Amino acid sequence: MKIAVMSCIHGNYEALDAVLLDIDQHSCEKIFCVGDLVGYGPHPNAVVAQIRALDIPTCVGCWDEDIVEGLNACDCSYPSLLAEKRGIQAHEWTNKEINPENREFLANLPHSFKEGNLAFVHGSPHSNHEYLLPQLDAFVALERVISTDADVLFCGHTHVPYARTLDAGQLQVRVGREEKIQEISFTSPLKRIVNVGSVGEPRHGRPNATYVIYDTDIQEVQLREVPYDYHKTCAAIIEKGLPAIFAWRLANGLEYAERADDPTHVCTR
Amino acid sequence: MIIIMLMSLPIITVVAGSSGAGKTTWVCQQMRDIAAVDKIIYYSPGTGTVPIDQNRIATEFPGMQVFGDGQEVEFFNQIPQAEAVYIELGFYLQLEATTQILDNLTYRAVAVLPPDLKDSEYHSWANEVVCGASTQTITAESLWRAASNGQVIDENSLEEFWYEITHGAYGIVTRAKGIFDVNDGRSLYCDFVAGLPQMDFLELNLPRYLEGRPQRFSGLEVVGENLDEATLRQTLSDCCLSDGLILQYQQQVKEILLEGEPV
Repeated sequence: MKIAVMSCIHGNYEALDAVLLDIDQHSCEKIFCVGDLVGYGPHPNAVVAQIRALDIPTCVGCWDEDIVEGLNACDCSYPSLLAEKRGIQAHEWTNKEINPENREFLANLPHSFKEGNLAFVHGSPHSNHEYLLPQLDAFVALERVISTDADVLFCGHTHVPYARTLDAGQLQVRVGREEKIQEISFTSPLKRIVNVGSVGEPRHGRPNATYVIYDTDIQEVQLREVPYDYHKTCAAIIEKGLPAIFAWRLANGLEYAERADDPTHVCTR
Repeated sequence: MIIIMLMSLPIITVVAGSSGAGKTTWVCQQMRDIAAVDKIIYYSPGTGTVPIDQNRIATEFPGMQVFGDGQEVEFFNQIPQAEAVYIELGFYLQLEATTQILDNLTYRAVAVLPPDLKDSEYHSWANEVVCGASTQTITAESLWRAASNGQVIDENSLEEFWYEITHGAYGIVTRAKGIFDVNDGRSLYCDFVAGLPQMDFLELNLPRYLEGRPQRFSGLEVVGENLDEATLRQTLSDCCLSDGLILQYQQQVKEILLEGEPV
């Protein structure tokens, strides 16, 4: 069975529309979403309405959570003071724009969910704000997958897609102290982390949307990159009164503000 | 009119040329060949409250006498004692300004120009044409400047802002330069010329400023077309640290320095 997994739409309806069309053309039987429906982009309500209309299983992203609970970022969220100010501007705009029904929908999204041996989270199983970067220490990465009791962990949040295979391995843990130390061995089967990239806010240097098609029968990961008319989104950003720099950054395939760049950072939220 | 009272005068060199071609770089190269820079005078008119080149030269050649706008009298008073005088004219100044500035003093006119520029007004003005950097020129160039004295810029934000400036987020930029005080007290020189390889920020040879808001020059100059000046100004402001953050960073740096660790 082929499934499509997407993330980080960030209020970019044009990009979502193009990705849904691409998914349709590839005969995927199910679609999943790992959050960040809103934030930065000009169409948060249209995006949430579409996800609701299609009944796409979705977990909550950090931006969705912040719209419901208020801003609460760890210092891993913003690489600079400028990025933080822009993030706050985007949050305040989205917070005013989102309608009560859609806010309620976001409030009820689960932190994670499972489908067979597949797990779905936004950032990591520990936190929506934690970045699982491809360079993350292998032990930590493996722990994150094992904690979900799944074989494949789908996530987003970094906006840069990748698939990482964590080879089957032997883990040895020493528990206790002094003479009562006990050594426990675990055998971990092969695990995978699949970051599905971003539909609406790419960070790979091109404006194209990214998502993933996964074949559950042959465990094949296909990273999809979908061109769309990003000029429409850029025009809407300016028309709706969002900072014009967001349009420039979107057109250049740069993140609006946030950027994950420290694989050793463990989110403190 | 200012009258020079001494009989013997130093060699006066006036340097002009298009934006980004390398006028200041050429002046610096001349300075490096001179042993006693304290006998050299550098004057660059028309920079207003954003004297970036003067500050860069003053930090690279401590002891040299550097003058800008509002210091014309001091400049002329120092000429008789100098061994050499360099006057740099920004691209935005008329070449006739030389006559107004120097009155009847004789000078050597040097034009630093991109190699593909031919038969320009600089060619007929200059005694010597120096082949400079191959720069991109646009017809409707405008100049935007902002002083940021007393501000401390978040270095990560500066990197982001600089990327945006030099990649067209605020208009087509052909030239940008700036001096900024950053979180850890250093003063950084930033330089961009369209068409040339990007340069890393250069740390100026100044002591770390770790006692509140810096009491020294910082500022930004951008040359280009269709510049979004309001957004440039706002973004520069958005990169500036609050009093609380300045204090926090300066405390951290002092503690690190006290422990003898590298910052």
